[in-house]
Amino acid sequence: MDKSGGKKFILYFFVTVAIILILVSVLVAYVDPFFHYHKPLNGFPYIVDNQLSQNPGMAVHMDYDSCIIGSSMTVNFHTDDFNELIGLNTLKLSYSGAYPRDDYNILSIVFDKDTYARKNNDMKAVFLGLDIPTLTAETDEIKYELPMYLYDKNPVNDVKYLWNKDVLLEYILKPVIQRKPSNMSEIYASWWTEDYYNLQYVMHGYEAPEPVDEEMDKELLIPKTKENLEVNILPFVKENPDTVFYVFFPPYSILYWNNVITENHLEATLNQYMFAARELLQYDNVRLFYFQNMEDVVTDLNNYADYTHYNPRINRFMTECFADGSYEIKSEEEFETELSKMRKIIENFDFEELFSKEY
Amino acid sequence: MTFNSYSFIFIFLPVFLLGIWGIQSSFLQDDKKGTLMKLWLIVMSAFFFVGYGRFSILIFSFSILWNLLSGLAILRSRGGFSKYIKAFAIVGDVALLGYFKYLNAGAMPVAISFYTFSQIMFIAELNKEEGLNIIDYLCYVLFFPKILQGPIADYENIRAGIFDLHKRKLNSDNIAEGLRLFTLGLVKKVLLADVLGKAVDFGYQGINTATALDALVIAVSYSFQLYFDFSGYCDMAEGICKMIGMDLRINFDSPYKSGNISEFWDRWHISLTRFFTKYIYIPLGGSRRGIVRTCINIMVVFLISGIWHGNGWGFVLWGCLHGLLMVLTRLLKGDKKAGEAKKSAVIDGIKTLLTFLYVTAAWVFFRAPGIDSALALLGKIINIDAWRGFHISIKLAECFMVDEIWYIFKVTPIPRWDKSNYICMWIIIIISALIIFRGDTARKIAKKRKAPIIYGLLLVWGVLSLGGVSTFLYVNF
Repeated sequence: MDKSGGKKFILYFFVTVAIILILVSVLVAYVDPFFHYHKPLNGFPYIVDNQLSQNPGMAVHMDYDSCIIGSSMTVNFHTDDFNELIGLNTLKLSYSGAYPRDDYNILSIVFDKDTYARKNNDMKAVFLGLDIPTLTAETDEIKYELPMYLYDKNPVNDVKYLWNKDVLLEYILKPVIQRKPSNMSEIYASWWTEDYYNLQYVMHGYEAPEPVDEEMDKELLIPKTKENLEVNILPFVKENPDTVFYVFFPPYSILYWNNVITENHLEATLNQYMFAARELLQYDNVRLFYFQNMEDVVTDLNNYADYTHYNPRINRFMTECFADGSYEIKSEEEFETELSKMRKIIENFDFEELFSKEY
Repeated sequence: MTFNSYSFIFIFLPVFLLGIWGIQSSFLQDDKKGTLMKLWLIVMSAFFFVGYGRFSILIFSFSILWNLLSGLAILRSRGGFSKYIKAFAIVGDVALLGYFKYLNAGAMPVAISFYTFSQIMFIAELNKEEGLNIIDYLCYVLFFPKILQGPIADYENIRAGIFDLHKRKLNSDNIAEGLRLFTLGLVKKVLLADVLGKAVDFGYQGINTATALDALVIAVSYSFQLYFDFSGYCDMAEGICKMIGMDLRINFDSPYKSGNISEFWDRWHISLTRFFTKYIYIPLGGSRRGIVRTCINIMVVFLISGIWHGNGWGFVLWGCLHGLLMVLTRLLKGDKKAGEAKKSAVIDGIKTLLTFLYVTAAWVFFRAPGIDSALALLGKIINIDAWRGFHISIKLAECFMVDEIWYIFKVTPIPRWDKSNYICMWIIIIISALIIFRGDTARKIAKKRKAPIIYGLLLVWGVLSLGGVSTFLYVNF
């Protein structure tokens, strides 16, 4: 090969690479399936199924005045229900398995005043599903590694988004071919057929933890819980007095409480609930809901897909409660009473009978 | 940082190359250019390694300090005392590697296996006549194209490679060839190795439910994955060196085309074979002390190779299996060099196939989570009853379904959509097999095939596929 051959190769090679990468970048930036640059295009059949990648963009560029925050306990809410029952334009921003830090990360974007979303709509309400077991996590612990190029404001690392085969094929080409956009009211919903919700299915997949002999110190869970609330949740409550925070403890099944008893930390856990409620009730803009002592629901495993995940009917019911105030806790005394009821449900439940059968 | 990352391809590599080319084209005096070139290599190589975190940097720094001080002590020692210091330094290197590989349950420092062997070579080759130049040493040990997966180049080789690097003129032919090699390597890694890897990961998680054909597909896919992973890395490393006008030693030369195990080890991880031959096999006596001793020496070498590759009995067994076949080959062939007795295409084909199958069976012990799982997988392949139905699980076939082929299927009148996963699987396996057994090496292709637009498209395809791809397998060794 003579010298000019090498130069010609280099020239054509880089021109080819540059042209294709520019075209791909323009296409991805124009459609923007993760809503990183702008609000959704009218008429494009967006597929929304990736919490880690799409939540930050949605929080910045969607039109909404309220949002749902929390773990998989929140994925089966229908945002249309919030519109119908409370008159809110709600956006679902759940992270399955979310730790408090995950809530913090997305709430930081939600309350960022410089975003398109906040410039166009005030935040009227946040519906926050609070999973007590996660409040003992480290305050900076997140469930999954985040694609930071979609969370930070560094334009250089956006190449990971712009030059990404999955984005191009799964979120631009595929929707164009299939023409089946996600229903924004139902995004991220899981276990969506009724078949999943039955006693046999739950018991078949349930594995009780190893029993623990020594009872956990009642105060053991408090320091971390306090830290998590103070670092990851309460700052948003304090800094946004005009936003109503609907905080709720999701109704795990009675099997969750079996785990708590088997691991010998019932008193510590109830104390943790009491502490969290006391902290939250100090704020006028917090409305606290306790659904765990809905005895008919939590003791009937036909309402569950596993030991914690409940039927979407329960989500609808909880939305109705947010609207009419049922199951709302207004004082520490009320919460103590509700916890006493919970304790009675646990004490009266016949675990032996449940575990004596074959499933 | 790895070669298959956006930051490497679009930031690190261009900056590195521009620096090298800038120094080569500068009007500085020769000695200043030489020093500047070496400093640039050291700084960029250190920067390349920084991304692996404090722990890996700390251990690597300790290793560098240990060997540098040992080297200085060797040069200052009197009489025959230097050999004791050399032995002590090497024991220290081996101890460090052994501790992290076998005694420490925590994280492994990145690339420790590779740089430890480089350090051993440095200490072993150090002599008082030539002395020790700290800058040369740092260039050798840090040189980023080889740091993660080799080749395990000897000190003199790298020193010779960088010695007159500053004198080389910017050569567009070399740059073009390097770009082609780098592109081919990237494509092998992200478009083949990682797709096969997905099926392998799935397969090894469900050995108990695998059918006989599943087991065979899983085992062969892993052989292919390792091939594309390692050869992809070697091509990229060679490509980078080519672009700066340096020839990196060949480390991988179509090993699955080998007609026997001896030839295989002359082609697979060539620098590792050279290291073991030079520093273990020959000091043990090599083949000079009779056939029994030769066989023992071979077994020792492969046992150590197995131990070097990983912590667990599977690696030991893998080494033993290779050692055993090497011994058998030696007994049957004598001292004849591999490839000398070629008879006919059919016989050569059978020999190649049998060698590949043996190597594939041995890789099962390398990959499986335990010996039980490895035996279970191999048991399924050799159990004739398990072959009834000749069935491949749909879940396994689904792992091979890549988006690119899915879209082609969508616009093609393939009549039975329920078979599309299987079609995709066979397409990938057949293409892989053709490249491995019939294709030229990337080195030859890069010299012969020069269509810039095709390479441009391949590079873009590789770049677009970078998101979410795994790390190189040999980084873990």
